[in-house]
Amino acid sequence: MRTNNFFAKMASIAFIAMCYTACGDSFHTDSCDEVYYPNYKLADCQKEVGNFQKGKTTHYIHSNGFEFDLTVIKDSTFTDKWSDFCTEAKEEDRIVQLASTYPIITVKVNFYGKTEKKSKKTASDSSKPMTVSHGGTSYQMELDSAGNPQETGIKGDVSLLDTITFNGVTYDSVFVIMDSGHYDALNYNDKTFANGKLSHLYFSKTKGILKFETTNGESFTIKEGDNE
Amino acid sequence: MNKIQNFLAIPATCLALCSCGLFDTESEYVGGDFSKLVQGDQEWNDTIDVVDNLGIQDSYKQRLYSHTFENFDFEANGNINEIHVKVRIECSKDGGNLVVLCGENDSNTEAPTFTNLDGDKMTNAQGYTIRMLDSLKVGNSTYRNVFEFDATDVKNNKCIYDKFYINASKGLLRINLQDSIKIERQ
Repeated sequence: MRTNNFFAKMASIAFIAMCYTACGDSFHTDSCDEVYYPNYKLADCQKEVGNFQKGKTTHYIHSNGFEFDLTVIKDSTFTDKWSDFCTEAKEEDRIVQLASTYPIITVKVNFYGKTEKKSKKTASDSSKPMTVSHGGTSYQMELDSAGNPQETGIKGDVSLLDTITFNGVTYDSVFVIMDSGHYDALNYNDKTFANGKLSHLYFSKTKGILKFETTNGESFTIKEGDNE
Repeated sequence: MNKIQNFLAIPATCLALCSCGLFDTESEYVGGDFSKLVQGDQEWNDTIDVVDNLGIQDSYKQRLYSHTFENFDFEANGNINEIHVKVRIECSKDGGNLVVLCGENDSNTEAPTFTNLDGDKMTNAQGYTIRMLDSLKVGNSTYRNVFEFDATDVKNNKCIYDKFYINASKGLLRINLQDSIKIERQ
């Protein structure tokens, strides 16, 4: 009799476990009335800003003293597919990769298509994100339709300088962007909470990366003209 | 009834334990001179300064786990130079397996791999060679029990470097790349 009880309990446990694992879908209460199929495209400014043509080489000097060239070795636009609840999306993305032969330094620039061509009325208001990253330091920005980085997180995460001089050359209309490790959508995270030092990217719509600071205190800066 | 259950339980328990390797009589090991990499229990990480023959200074964060008769797991990543050195050895009953992961997010599928470790030098089918050196002088220091990875004879080298050298207890010693560049521990 005791054995029968034991088997009855075991069978009950096995049945319940089977329901929870194999029949998991039956516990879902949400359902899609209509699946949305957006086709997100890159905005024109995301294809042009920074002048990142493949093969373009820019000379830089590192804060440690050595000089090097960063060359655009990859400029790839492709369509990514992703799905979320009630959404089956196609998204046009662009990846730009800059690299130096030696020292081996790479910078990645990513653009994510968020503009829905179907609805032209809202296209100019849609998000146009751009990310510039190197090592453990990343800069995220939102572009306006003209390709100007806009404030996204907190006040002061993006500022515009009329001019700035780097290694004897003066550049106009330079955007200064705060590293994304020091803020989120609502707050500035000072060094107590964020990893590494506060750093900034100096970016020109026409010249691209002018100065890249890393959160470990190093940087590299454009050096045009006399490169000897 | 209880006696029968107990009688059956003993061999069942033995079978389970044996299948988990608890009572294995055939021990796992690392073969040849490569065993020098797994002779001690170590778990540490540190940062070392390096300089190349162009005078460029850099630092490498490195981490080493090594347990006798189990494994050797070493990793070093450059700060300025995006160079990643990873060596993993798993002990086995056939002398152990060694894999060199060259990239930051490498999978094992294309990584240079060596099986049934034996002797002091091995070359795999792709032409990658590993070797245990008695000693290597780097700067003013001489290191014993040095592991060498050599890709100079490989036609389609998947690694960014030609050679690297690591010591069983100190970690990274030297990286050679692009035929002429030599990065050395300071």
